[in-house]
Amino acid sequence: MSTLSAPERPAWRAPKPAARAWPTFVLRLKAGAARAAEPELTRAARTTSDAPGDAMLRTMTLLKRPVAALPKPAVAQTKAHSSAQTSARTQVPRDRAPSRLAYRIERLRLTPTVRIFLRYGLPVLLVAAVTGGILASADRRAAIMGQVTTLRDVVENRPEFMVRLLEIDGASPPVADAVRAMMPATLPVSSFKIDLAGFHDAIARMDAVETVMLKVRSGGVLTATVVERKPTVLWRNGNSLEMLDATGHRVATLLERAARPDLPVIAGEGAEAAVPEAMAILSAARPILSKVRGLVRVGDRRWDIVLDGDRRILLPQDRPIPAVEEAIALDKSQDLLSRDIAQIDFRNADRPTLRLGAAAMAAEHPDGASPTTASPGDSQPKVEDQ
Amino acid sequence: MTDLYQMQRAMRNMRRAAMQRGVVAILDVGTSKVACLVLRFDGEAPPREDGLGSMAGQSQFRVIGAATTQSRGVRFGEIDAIPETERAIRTAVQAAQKMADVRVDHVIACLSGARPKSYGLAGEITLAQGRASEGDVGRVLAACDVPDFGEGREVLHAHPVNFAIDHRSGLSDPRGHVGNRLAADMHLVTIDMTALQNLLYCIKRCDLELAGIASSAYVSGVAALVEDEQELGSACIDMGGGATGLSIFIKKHMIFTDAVRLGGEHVTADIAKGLRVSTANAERIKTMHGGVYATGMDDREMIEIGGDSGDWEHDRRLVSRAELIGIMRPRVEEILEETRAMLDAAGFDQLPSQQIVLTGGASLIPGLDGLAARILGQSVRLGRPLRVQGLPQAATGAAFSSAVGLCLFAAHPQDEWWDFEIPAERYPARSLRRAVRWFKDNW
Repeated sequence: MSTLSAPERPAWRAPKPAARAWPTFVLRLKAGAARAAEPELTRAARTTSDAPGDAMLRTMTLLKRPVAALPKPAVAQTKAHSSAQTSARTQVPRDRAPSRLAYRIERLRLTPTVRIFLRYGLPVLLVAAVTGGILASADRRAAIMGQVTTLRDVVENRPEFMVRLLEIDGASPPVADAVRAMMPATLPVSSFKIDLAGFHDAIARMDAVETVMLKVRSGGVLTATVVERKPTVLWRNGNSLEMLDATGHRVATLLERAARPDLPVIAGEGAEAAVPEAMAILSAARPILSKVRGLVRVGDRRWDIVLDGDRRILLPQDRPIPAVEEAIALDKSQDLLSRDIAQIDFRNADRPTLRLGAAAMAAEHPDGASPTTASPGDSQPKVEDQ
Repeated sequence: MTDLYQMQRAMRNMRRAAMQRGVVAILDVGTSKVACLVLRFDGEAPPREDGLGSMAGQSQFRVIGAATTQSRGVRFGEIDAIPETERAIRTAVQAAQKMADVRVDHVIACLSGARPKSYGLAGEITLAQGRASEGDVGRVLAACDVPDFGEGREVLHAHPVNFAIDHRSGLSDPRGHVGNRLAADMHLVTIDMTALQNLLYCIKRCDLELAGIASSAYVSGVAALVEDEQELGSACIDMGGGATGLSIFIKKHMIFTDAVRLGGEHVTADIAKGLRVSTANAERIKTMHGGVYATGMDDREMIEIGGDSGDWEHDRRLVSRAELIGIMRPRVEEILEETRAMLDAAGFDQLPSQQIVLTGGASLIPGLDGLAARILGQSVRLGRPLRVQGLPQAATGAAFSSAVGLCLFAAHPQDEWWDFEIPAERYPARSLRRAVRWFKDNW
C-alpha cells in the first residue's frame, strides 16, 4: 500500500446503510440517533487502544523504514495517556491568572459609576480631605497665616515700595500744613499701607480745596497736586465773615473785613446759595463799584445793592442785570447817585421809583407832607430834587 | 420540559437585555485555548442604496476586545478541573475587558464536547381555523413527539427546520398559509447535563451571567460556511483540540450534529510519546514542522526536537520530518475516518450538495485538505471564519471559527422552539387552580 493509492476503507467500519428515498430535505436522523447510542463505548475504547506505538508501526511500514531505527515504541506510556498529558501540561508556561479578588476589583473598576467616581470624585475628595486635615488645627492655621503675613510684609517693605517724601503742589502754606497733618501714616512707609483713597477724600473734604490728585511717583515720592478754591466774595453770616468762591462754596472764615478789602460783601438770607447771580450783578455794576458797599439778599429771592450812605438799589427778582444797567445809565446821564436819594426801586420794571433822602424831602415838602413818588408814564424816572 | 423551556427563555431575555446594554462577551472554552471576545452592539447600520446590508448584515456589532489564553483543565471539550478552568476564563475575560475598557456582565458560551446527539422530531396538528397562525406554530412544535433522551441529558438546540401544510413541504414560515394539517420537523440537540452544569458553574464563579449557549460545531458552521453552502447542503468539520465536531447544514438550518472525542491534542500527545519530548515541545514541533504528506525531501529535512532534560545527547536529537509525519498522519486519518463514519451515519451522501468544510485549529496542518479529500470525498475545502468588524488579525484564523460563529449567533440567533409561545393547554393545571384559590382566599 502506498501513500498515493486511495485510502482503504477500514475493516471496522460498518457497511454503508442502504440509500433511502429522500422524503423531504430533512434527514431521517433515526439512524444517527441509533448509532449515537451504540458506538460510544467502542469508540472510546478505540481512542485509548489505538496507541501511538501501533500507529507508528503502521506508519513506519508505510514509509518503508526499518522498525529497529525507530525510537523505542512507547508502549508503556499508553496506560498513562491522560496522566502524562496533564503532568506535561503543568510544565507549560501560562498566562498568569488573576486571583478572584483581583478579578473582582478590576471589574468593579470598570463599572461606569466607579470609573466616574475615580476620575472626578476621588481627586476632589482627596484634595478636600488633605486641606481640611491641615486646616483643622488652630495652631496650624495660625502658623500658615503668620507665614503669609510675614511674606507679605517682606514684599511690601522692600525699598522699591517705600514712600519717603510727601510733596504738595499748588497749596497755600496753611492748606499744605493741613494736608501734611492729614497724612495717615508717618513717613517712611510702604506704599501698600497708605490708604490713598481715604487720604484723597480727606483732602477733598477740606473747604479750601477744590480738587486734589494723589500720585506715588518713582523714587518714593507721594505727590499731592492741590487746586485751591479762589475766594471771590465775602459772606456776612451773622457775626462771622466767610469767604466764598464763585460757586458759593465756603473757602475760609475771615476774621476781619480789612484783611480782604478787594472782595465784595454779600449778606442776607440765602445769599450764599445765589453767589453766581451776585457775581453777575457785581460785574454789571462795575462802573459804580466804588460806591457799592455790598449786596443784600432779601427774602431769599432778590438782591439789594447797598451803596455808601446806606442808600439802596432794589433789584427785581427776575432779570436784575438790566435793572442794574438802567441804574448805571441813569447815573451816567443824570448823575443820579450823587444826589440825595434813599433808594431806587426797580422791583417793578415798568415803574422804577425813587425815594428821596431826608434833606431833599424837607426841601421839597417843607410842610412835612408825606413823601410822594413820581412816576411818569414812560420808563424815564423823574428826579424831583433838582 | 417546561423547566428547560423556562431556562432557555430566561437566557433569551438575558441576551436581549445584554443587547440593550450594548456589550456582550463571547466565551469559547476549548480544550487548547479559551478565547473571549467583547462585542459592542450599536444598532442596525443604515441601509445601503443597493438594498444590501453592509457586511451581509453583520455590521451591527463590533469586536472591541479580544483575548486568548491557554486552556487548562479542559479535556475532550468538557471541563475537567473546575478551578483551573475558572482561572483560565478569568484570565481571558479580564484581558478582553481590559482591551475593551468596559465591563461585561453577559456572556454567550459554546460547548464543543459533552457528547452531543441529534434527534429528528416530527409533529403534526390539525388547523382549526384553516389558516396557520403564530399560535399554531407553537402548538405544532409542542406536538412533536420527544424521544427519551436518557438520564442526565439536556436540550441545547431545538430548531424548527421544516414546516409542511397538507402536501406542501419545505416551508420556512407557515404563518398565514391556508391548509388543514400543519406538520413540523424539528432538529433537537441534547448534551450531557453534567458538562453543561460545570460550564455554568465556572461562568457563575466568574460573576458573569450566561446569556446564551450554543453547540460549538453549530456556530463553527455558521461562521465558516458561506451562504450558498448553508443553503445547498454541506458539512462543517470543526477540528478542535480535544473534540472534532460535525454539523450538517441545508437550507440554512443545521440538521445534524455529532462530535468525536479526538482532536489536535491527541496528535500532540502522539508526537510527545513517539519522540519522547514534552507536550509543549511536541506542540511546537507539530505547529512548526507538522504535515500529513511525506515526500522525499522530508527524509532529508532534519528537525531538532530539543528538550531540557540536561542530557546533551538527549536534548540534541534530530528527527526527520518524514518521521514526524509518520507519527501525525495515522492519528489525523483516524480523526477523519471517525468523521467519515459520522457523515455516513447521518446519510450525508444523500444531500444534493456535499461540500465539506474543515475548520478549527487542527485543520491548519499542511496538506490536510488533500488527505481529507481522500477520506471524506472530493469537495473539501479549508474554511476560515467570516470577517467581522474589529476582529484582531490574530483572531481571524480557523481556530477562531467557533468564537466568530458565536458572535454571529449573538447577533442573529436562529429561531428555536422556546422562541414561540407555549400553547395555553400546555400550562400546568396546577397554576390555574392556584389562581382560583387565590381569588377564593381574597374575596
